[in-house]
Amino acid sequence: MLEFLEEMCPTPSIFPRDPVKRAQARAHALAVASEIQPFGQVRILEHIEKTLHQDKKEWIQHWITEGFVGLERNVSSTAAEFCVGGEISIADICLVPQIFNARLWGVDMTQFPTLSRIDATLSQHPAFVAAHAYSQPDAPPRPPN
Amino acid sequence: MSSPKLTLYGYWRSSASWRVRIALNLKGIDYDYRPVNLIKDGGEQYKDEYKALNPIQLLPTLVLEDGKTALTESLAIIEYLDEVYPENRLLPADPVQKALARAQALVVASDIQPVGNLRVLGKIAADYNADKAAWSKYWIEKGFTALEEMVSKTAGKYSVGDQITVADLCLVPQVYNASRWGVDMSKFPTLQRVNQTLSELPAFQKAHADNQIDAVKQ
Repeated sequence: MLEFLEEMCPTPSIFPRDPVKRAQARAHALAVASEIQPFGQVRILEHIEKTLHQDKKEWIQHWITEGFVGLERNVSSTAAEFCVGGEISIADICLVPQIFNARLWGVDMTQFPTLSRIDATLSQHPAFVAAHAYSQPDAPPRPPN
Repeated sequence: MSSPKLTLYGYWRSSASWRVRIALNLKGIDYDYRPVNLIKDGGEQYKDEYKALNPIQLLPTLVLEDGKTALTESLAIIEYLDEVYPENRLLPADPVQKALARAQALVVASDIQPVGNLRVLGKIAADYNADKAAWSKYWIEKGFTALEEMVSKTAGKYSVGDQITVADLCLVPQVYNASRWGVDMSKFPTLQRVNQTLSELPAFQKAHADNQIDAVKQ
């Protein structure tokens, strides 16, 4: 969907212009969307808990932590203000919801300083504020900090 | 002196490596293939040499002609190849068809394959003492049920119309995996038909897991 939106509405762009940087942005996005997020899907967590009778919190913490260890290293090599240089890209768009999830599951984000810094910067951006889970009409009240 | 080539670090049976092999073959790109054994010595992907190339320690990694720029994530690599080597396009020109092809690729690459990865099966078997074959079969069947529905709406000769796309590159390795775990492919007739058609093409045959230099005879 994100690629389609970019093609229909190319300005402002969410992809770097340079092909290698574009590949790096996609790789960071996919590191979240393919290597981390799938493990936190409700149907997987329910299977872990109800069919295998295992601790779903331990399961999801394990995969988020493992994924973020690698992503922290990869993003550190491409980041400036955002994941890839100074422009917001698809990498940042995938990162923020995953960090929200990580915190929900009690992952210690202080282990990942680059990812945390970028997330903190983006949390002030109006587009990210409007898109936040707790800003949606179907969201429950935001819990106190 | 021969001109510099791309180098692909992969594993014979790694679905993600396989997708990139198909892409390189379809585009007629010559490359060096460096096997990374996922099992030997606890897994060569965890050794410092490979970790330096790809900190996420998954396969594949494609090193460009400069010998140092390393690209990761098979779908990101395939999009890069399609941009830089535009012959034999791997995405439809129409934006909606392109989005549908990408969606089908992602059903495989995000919804199905990751939970059947070697590192996940290791945890299922070692930490949970659960049946990894049953786990693999279950998630592939769930994913293929959804994918069969999607592909049956878009397929011509291939997954999306009559042009080979990234969806096909993801399908073939996943069908191999499905067969390995005992999935009855007759339940997914469109996927089975498209897979059969693709399997006869030279680029796909050359990329097949069993035809790689590090393949283990079963």
